[in-house]
Amino acid sequence: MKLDPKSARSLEFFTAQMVRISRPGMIGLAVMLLVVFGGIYALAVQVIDGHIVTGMRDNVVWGIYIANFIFFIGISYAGALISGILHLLRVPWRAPIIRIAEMITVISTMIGPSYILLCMGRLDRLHHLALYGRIQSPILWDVLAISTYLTGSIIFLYLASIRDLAALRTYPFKSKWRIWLYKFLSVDFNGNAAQNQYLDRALTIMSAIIIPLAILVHSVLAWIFGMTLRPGWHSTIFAPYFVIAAVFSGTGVLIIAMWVFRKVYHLESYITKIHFNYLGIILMILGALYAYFTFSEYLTSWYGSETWEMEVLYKLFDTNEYWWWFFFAAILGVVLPIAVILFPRFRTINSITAVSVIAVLALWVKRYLIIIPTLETPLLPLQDMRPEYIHYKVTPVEWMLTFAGIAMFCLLFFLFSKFLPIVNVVKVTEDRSYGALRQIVADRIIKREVKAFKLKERQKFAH
Amino acid sequence: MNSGFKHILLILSIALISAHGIIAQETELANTKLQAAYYKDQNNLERITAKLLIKSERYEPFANAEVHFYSVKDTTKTLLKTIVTDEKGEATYILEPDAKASSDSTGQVVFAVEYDGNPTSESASKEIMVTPAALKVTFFQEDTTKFISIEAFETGGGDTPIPITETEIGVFVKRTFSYLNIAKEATNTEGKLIVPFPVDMPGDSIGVLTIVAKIEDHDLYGNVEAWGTINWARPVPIADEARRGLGDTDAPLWMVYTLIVLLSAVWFHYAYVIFLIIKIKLAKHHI
Repeated sequence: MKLDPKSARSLEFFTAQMVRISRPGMIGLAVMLLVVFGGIYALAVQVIDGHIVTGMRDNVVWGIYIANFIFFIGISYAGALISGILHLLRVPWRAPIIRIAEMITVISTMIGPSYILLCMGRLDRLHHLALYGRIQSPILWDVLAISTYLTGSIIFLYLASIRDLAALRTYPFKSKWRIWLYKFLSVDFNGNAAQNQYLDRALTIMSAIIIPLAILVHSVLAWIFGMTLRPGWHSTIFAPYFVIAAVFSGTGVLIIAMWVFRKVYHLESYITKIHFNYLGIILMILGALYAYFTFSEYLTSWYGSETWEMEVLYKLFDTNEYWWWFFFAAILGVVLPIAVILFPRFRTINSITAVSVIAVLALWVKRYLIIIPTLETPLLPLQDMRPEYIHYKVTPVEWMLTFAGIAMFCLLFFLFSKFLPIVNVVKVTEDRSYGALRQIVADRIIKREVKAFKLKERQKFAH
Repeated sequence: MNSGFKHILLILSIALISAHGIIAQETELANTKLQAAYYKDQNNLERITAKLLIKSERYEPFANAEVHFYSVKDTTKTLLKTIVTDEKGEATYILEPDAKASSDSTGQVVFAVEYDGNPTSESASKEIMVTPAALKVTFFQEDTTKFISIEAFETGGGDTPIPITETEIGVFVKRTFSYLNIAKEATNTEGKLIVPFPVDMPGDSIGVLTIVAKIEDHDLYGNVEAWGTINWARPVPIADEARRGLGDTDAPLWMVYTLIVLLSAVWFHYAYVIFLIIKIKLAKHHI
């Protein structure tokens, strides 16, 4: 594929980063590998000794693993919705960030379900799910939905990468396997009219499909809880609530990833403040929606005064139990991002990233609070039970596997960025709409400078 | 006597009075109350149920206390059994054949239930005098009308049963969870009670109903019960098992179709996209 000089320069910039690992990168890689190996060790302990090494017992049968599962599936929304919607709406500023969003989707959709496997006993019977699965079970819906979603996300990422793969195919890499792989994956794309037409059509189809699919996946996940007659779960608004929470956390992770890659790969000219601003505003709107759903959910539970619902609510509002977690997840983690992004004066790249970190952490805690307090509130009172059967406590094995999942996420991201440019290079440089965006930014800067100049002149005149 | 000595005496006196009060409180025993009732059913299964109550602020069940059941004949008491009360304060003794035979010269059977008390609670006792009685439930038809006939008679007076007259008997239909009262009337001079059979009442699949007759809490006879069954009620065919689907082995069809349609729609588009990718490869020589 023939590239214009501008695209060729961009490609040069990214390929240089793809084949080189800096010293901080090496340290980061070592840390990630160490944590992943720690996770493998923890997994071995769990397989050998059984689930007794976790905090899960007969009563609290789901723990941090399921919280991680929902969290990872939630952040996969970054790619599905953000990039899907931005693509469909032809939003001009999308080009530099959609690759990151799509990567988040694929990686998190791969890691999330592995926590289900960690949570299950008798993995030797896993194939029974296919052999004897009951269509009536929301768990089976989840398996079908997530596998379909993962397939779709991989296809979407692949389609959006074909142009870059074609450009990379001609680049003189040293390793032959890399060139062979780019050649194979680029399906002889050379950018002719027919190929562009087919590719654009395929991308439009996938971006249209991936949106309802993502909504369905998280709805199904919510129905696993919502269709269970348990206090704190049995709610009709759980599906949209989960969807909003997922997009909220997905946007937060996207902002964090953008910040990291911008710093590490020096992408300041590609990922600009305007991207942070726009995504920050999306985060703020989603935060407000999430707050609305949270308020509605707890208000109806409280007003109904149903005995077991109240038991869960008392636990959430009890300072000796979950109050501070609840405060962080439902109040601080929502109010702070909204408050910071609402006022343009506070809207900087770092502040938007900082509140995104808070929002993402809050959403993880929220997932924990959805699962644990409810399971600690059984419908039949438990008597003469050992405390660990009633109260869940995360064990070191569970923590190690949790951090291993996060490290694996970062590691796969790192490896992906070494195989594909983290920014959609060809699209960014070719896209006229992106050029238009740069024009908008430039116009704004000129306007601001003109305004400042006028103000100065006025002050001078007043003197 | 100096004032210091006076003060010591005063304090000692107060202490003594207080101590006396405390001791008096400690030795005060809690009141107990014993209730007992006699039950007999159609199979001649007889039992005595005793309930022991203890007074704190009000009378409450007294659990884990030993209650003795005695058979009393003339002035001789024979211990039948000692039973510990359950959490409801109840202890039930099922009469053994020996106990049943021990009626006195008047034909009455006398039982005594006693609680011996303990260091914190008073003893309690209760005596029950029962004239052995029985009920018999039969059914008959006159023209097209169907009736239930209940005979009540004393059984302790030798071979010839003595009819129980002017005694209220409750007539019930046994339902799944409780007894449905259909009549409550006194027996006639022959010790009989006749009530119409509730032919409109739903029975089982062939119209069988169980009719229960009861003498309840009677001073002389205690609680006596008998029953009879007949297929004169309205037959109710067994309803087909409602197949809810979700808890069944087979999924509801609408669910299967929805899933097939949704998955097919998505995977068809995936297949189409892969087809487009193949077309991209094939279009490499286009301009």
